[in-house]
Amino acid sequence: MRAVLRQTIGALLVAAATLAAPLAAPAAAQQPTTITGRVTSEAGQPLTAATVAIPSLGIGTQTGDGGRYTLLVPGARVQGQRVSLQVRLIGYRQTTREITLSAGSLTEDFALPTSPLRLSEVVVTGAGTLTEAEKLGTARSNVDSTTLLRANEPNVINALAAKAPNVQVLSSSGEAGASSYIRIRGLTSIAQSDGQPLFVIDGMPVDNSTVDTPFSGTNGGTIATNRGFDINPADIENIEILKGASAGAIYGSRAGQGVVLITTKRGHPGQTRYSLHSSSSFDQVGNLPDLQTEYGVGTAGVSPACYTNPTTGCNVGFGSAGSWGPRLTSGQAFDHTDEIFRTGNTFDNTLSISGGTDRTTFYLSAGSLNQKGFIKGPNNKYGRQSVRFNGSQQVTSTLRVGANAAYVASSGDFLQSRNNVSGLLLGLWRTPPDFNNDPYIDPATGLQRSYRYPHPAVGSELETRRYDNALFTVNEPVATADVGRAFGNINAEYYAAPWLRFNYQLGSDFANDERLEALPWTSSSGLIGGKGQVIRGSLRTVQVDHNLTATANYTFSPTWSGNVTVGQNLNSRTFRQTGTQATTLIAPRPFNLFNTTSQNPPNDTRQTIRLESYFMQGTADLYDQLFLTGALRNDGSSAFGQNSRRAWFPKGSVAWSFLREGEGANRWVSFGKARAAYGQSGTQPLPYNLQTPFITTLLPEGGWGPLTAPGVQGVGGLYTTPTLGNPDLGPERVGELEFGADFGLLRDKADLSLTHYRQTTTDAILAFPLPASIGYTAQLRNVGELQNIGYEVALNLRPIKTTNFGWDVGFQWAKNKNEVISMSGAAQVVLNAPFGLGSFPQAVVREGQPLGIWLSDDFVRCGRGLRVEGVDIDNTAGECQGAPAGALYISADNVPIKDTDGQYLVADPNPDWTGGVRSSITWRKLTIGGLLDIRQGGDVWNGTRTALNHFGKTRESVTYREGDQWVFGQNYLPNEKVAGPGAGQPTELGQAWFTNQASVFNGPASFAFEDGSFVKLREISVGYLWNRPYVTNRLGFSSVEFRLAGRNLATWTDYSGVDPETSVVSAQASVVRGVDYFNNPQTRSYVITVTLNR
Amino acid sequence: MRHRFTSAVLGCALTALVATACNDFLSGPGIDQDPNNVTDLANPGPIYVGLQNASANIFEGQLARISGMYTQQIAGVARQFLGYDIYQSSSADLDPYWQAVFIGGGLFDARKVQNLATARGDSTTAGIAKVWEALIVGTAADFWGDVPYRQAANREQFPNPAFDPQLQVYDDIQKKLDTAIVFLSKSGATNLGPNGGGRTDELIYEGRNAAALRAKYTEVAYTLKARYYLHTAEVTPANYALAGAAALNGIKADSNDFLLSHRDAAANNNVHYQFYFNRGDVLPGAAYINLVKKRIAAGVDNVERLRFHFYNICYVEPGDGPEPDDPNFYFGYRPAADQNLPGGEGAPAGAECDDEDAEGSFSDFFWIGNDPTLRTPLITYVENQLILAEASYRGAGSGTDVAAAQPFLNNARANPKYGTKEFTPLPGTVPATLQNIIEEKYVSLFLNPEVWSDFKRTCFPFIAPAPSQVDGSEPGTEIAGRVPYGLSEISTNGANVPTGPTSRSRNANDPQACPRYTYAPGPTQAY
Repeated sequence: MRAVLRQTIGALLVAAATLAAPLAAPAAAQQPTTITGRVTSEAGQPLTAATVAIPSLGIGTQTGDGGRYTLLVPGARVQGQRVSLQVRLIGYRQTTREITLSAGSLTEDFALPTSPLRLSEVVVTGAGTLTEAEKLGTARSNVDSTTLLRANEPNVINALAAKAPNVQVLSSSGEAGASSYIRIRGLTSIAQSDGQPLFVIDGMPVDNSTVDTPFSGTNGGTIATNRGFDINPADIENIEILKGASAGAIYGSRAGQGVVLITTKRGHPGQTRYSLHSSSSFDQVGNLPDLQTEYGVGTAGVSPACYTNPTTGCNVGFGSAGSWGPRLTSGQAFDHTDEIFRTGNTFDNTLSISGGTDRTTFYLSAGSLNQKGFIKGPNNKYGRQSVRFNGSQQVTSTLRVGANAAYVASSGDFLQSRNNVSGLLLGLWRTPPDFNNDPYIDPATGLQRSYRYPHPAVGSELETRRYDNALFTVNEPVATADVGRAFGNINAEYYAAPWLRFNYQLGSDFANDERLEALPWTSSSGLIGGKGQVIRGSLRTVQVDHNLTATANYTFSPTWSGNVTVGQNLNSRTFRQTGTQATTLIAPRPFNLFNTTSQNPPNDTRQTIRLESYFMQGTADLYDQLFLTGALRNDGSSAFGQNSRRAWFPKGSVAWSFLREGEGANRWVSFGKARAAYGQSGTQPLPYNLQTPFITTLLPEGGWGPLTAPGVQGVGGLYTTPTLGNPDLGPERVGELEFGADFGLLRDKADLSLTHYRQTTTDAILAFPLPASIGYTAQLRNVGELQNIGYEVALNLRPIKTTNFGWDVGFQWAKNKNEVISMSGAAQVVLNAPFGLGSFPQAVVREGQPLGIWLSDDFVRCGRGLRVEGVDIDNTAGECQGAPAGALYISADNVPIKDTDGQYLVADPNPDWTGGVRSSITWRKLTIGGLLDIRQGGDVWNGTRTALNHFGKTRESVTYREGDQWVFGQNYLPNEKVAGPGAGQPTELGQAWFTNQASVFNGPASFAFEDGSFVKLREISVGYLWNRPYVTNRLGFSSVEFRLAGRNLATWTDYSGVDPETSVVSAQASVVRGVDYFNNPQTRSYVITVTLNR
Repeated sequence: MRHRFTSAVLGCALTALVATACNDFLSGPGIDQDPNNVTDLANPGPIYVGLQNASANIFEGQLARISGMYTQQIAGVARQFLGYDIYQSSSADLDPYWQAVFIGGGLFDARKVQNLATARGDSTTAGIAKVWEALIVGTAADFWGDVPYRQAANREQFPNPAFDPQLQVYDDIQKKLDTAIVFLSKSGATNLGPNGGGRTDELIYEGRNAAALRAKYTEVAYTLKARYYLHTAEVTPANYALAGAAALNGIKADSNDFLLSHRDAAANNNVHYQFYFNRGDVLPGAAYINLVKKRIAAGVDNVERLRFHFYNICYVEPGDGPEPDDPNFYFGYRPAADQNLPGGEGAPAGAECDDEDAEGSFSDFFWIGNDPTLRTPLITYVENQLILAEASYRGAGSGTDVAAAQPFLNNARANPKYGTKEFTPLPGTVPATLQNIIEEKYVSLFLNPEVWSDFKRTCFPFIAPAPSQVDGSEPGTEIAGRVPYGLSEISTNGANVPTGPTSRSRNANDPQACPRYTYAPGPTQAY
């Protein structure tokens, strides 16, 4: 290990010596050269913001208005040499011209041919390295600012939905400020990371975590925001998605799940530009389940006494809390499906000013986002105020310094939701149609009235309402998050020699998040049972990153050139969390810890992970068509055990442009590139798993709610944590082999990209289960092996492209197959299951299965060797004999019965494939575009439906409520094959069926799984660009752009719940996806955007 | 933090250039060492406190509810508890409770307390922890039968502990209790008690000094010995006499009852209370209420007991029907919430149940719903007297010596108590028959798992098995005699987990099934 360090240090010493050399020996003074010119398209239109540069000297500028540029080469560097003058612009072919530098003026005009393939575009590849698109050995997924702004999503994560193959985005709900989750390709880690990629902004790794308020449940409580929401999408110039381990290997042990590289906007030399981007969106509730309004509260057709003979203080027990009461006459019923929704709105404005001179550039922006959510009341809103400054100064001809800084203040108000008796939809949708939620405050007592406690007694302010009135929930409980965040970096670029560039960057990302979550008196939630609760939490994340690289360009011969980069990275991440949960309010307000009587043991956690890394990368460009890259990174992490403190991550890639214009291209195929890459990256373990401490965490009683503190007031108690520490823990290692090919077709009227990858995670950290009888239940070990195999196809067609009319259409398709290859003898690991109880399903890890497959109980089915009442049903005539395996066993009572002993793998949350279709039509200044997002497969557990079955609120519970003509496998559950003594026999369903077998509480959990396939109209928009001369002359703007857009306007799916894209857990749990339990719905939005440019 | 990082960066970056590495960048307190939790501990006190508190989850949690449901002291009336009520508990359901027995807060920490205490020469704490170990493992053996014990909680030597035969486990527990009694007979330095060096880590017998604690725990140890002799007496009748002999040294007064400790803070509340607040899926069982009513009718019990445990959530106008002092005010559920079975009917005639429908006319829990700090009695004077009564009744093993048993039954009845709640001594006398002794225990030890053990041994009181299906009305198979092993143990230590027993099997200490009564009118069932 020491030797490694010594070698690395040696390399740095050489680098330092080289750095010092030019300072010591200044060249003889000469006259400067001024190069001026104009850059246009081949059609003659002036092109602004094209980069004009002499790469070998590190000198560059950008074209301003009219496509004009001026490039000054300082006299000290003008030696009559020949250099390449290069012009680049996205969408145009890079053009290079050899010129001879001599004192005086030169004029060089360029007419750039268009290049839809964008082969010469500079691609940021991470950790300070750059390359060109053509030289990339891996598939490129890029999202530019135009695409981002067109999406108009306040959360940048959502804007990435359907933008690249195998980039899946899942928004937890449509609530203002709701977190979104992004997954690239397959999951490469079982439980050590949240399964999301590393986010890097301008070279600085930043936080995109989603952290629940301490003590607020992951299934209940309120949602949280992912920290990526702090980024103002209007500030983003470009996003490169490094999808796999091979593309991201330069980030070593942090890139196991891919990397998202975000580059923010810069100023360009020339006239100062002003841009006001302003959008208003109107957000409405998306899909909702179909609920009945025909039957009232009660059981077996009878209303509870509390409704028939109401008295003060009566309450409705669980047994009569469903809508199994009498049929209602018209006029009695209230439809609770959507009575809490309204049209929300979002106003998002960003003003930016940018500009500069050839030595100084700046970009300054201020953004303001205000979201009023689509749920009524004051507690569904989110605001983000952000400022950003990006500046750079050319200090000397060889030294450029810069700074990027953003400050964001955001505040969110959230609602109690999900698996939570104070939750919004749980209370609302269980409410029977004959209860009017309005008013939610009883006029007589001033206290909450709910359907299970309709006539509050005087003095009942400390009593639970069992389920809260939804109107109470939207108005009274308070949950806020106030975030202050600053992130950015200072950087310096120094050319020690024309061929040697040093790049230094010191960045930091600091966020402080103050949480309050309060429940008033009478709230039904959990332990507090009406007494009220105040949770105060404080979350602080600090990340500091130091990155130093030296890049040397070399040219061995005209056919062999390239560069070598060596670098050092030091990184420290600290997460600090404190939280206090206090119960029993003294007075109704304020929601402050002072106003409470008892506090539970506090949460006080600090996590620090430090990383010390060295890396090097070399490239070789051979014959201008074969591009090789090799890299090696060595990571030392404080989270690695003493015995495995450092780890190596290699990578290598090759790209071969075998077909190019003038080099074998024909009318069918205008460009061809083959690429292959292999690389390793990893995932760091969470810290502090090396020891086995004593802990004070509350002990849960199974999963039923009771929690016991190991100590009591005045007497501290501890217990041994059941997870055994592991001093040998190391990183998880993801090795990825990626092949692919990119083609330009039909004279660049089309392009096609094909990619195949095989990712293997070795040393995957598994909470290796141990027999509890040894005193521990698990130990984290590097013993798992996972595999992801996938295919990605992107096809873009540009069938029509004339001056006035253009039509583009793009298709993408991706497939990822995940499999757990080995668990080193562990039979099964239960993941962070959303509900850890027997009658709910569990996401598990099992060999030979995809990660997170659902294990659940089921009905008795044929072919499983089961016995019913002692009878071997598979081998008995009149039972299952002769029936197909999996047939539903119908008992002699003519209904299926629950198999109470077996647990079966019943559903897979992973989609079979995902895809998208994007199209846009441009006619003169008018652009019409649309985006379809498609997911095939991926099961969703709709516990909302089976819970509402229990309560007699679903439409199906009415359809099958009366009569006895229902036959399993025929007019009920027609897709099931049936067998057994009751097969084909009619039976009554009604309350008995829906409160038992079809209920979330008593039936098999398998009954709630549904296919989550969907097609979504993700975006549709009409835009008009107004830039006629009189706009400039009269209004003073260079252009005005109007856009009318719709987002998620339609979803085609068989899923019966709110949306197949939903998750009961916010974005922090990696594997457990596709759980719907009274989650808030998604939204559909109409957006008007105006952009004023000057 | 930020400042320190900056200096580390500068140190690392600059010193790197002169060829020394930054060794302490990646290690040190808070960096690779846990800054949040205790990692080293010499004093057993905090772990002993944790053990006492964690035990509430074992003794007031699902195991107590299962025992209560199986003996129909309570009834599962909603959601998952409808299934548990009719013996449908899976390995997955039982897993957390299986684990809680062995891991930190259970056996593992009971052993750790013994080791740390022994290392400090504190025989008092070590002896007490041995009593706790016996209590925890004895309960596990009672619920599961064969359990790992000799090789349990000893990972280095036994990564896959063998399951010991249940009867051997009971034997080992007797030896463990004997050792505990020897330890408790020694005086010497201890941290426990008010004079024990500043810490008062004893919660059960809070406020007692070290000598008093040794005396109390010696009594507890003897009562536990008696309890576990009874558990094995069905197969070894000689153990009745041993139980009687041990119980003579057992808990001598109700002021010495072993009551779990609870406090006002939510996370120190009684687990029954917390469960009721969170879920409320169990309600009073008809069998229990009906038995007490019958005893009241016979003049051998009083309504105070019902008033203490239950209340009727129907509102009854004064003079308009039964009132809380009337036993008819109280009604319980049949298993699986089936109200339609005999004995399960609802509201008293004339009661205006303004609160709920048929369901609501039943009783609800009084203290469970109202007293978060109620100290659940776990090992009591009454139990000890009733063990003596049964042991005396059985005589040498085959006898029916009512006369010998009578004084002990009378003692128990003269000191009726639940936790700290004292009832008025019961009127009337009861002959000390086995049925009367066990029924006395059944009503006294409300929600104590001993009741299930007594039922399995003696088949008293008369209770009919629950229906076989959630919505079925037919009585099902016999009342379950054990619970399934935890799923995690099966999947990690499968080679050792006995595969034979199901939830319908009988444990080794209880080979005889009880007669199956039915709910049919004119029942063989007594009540």
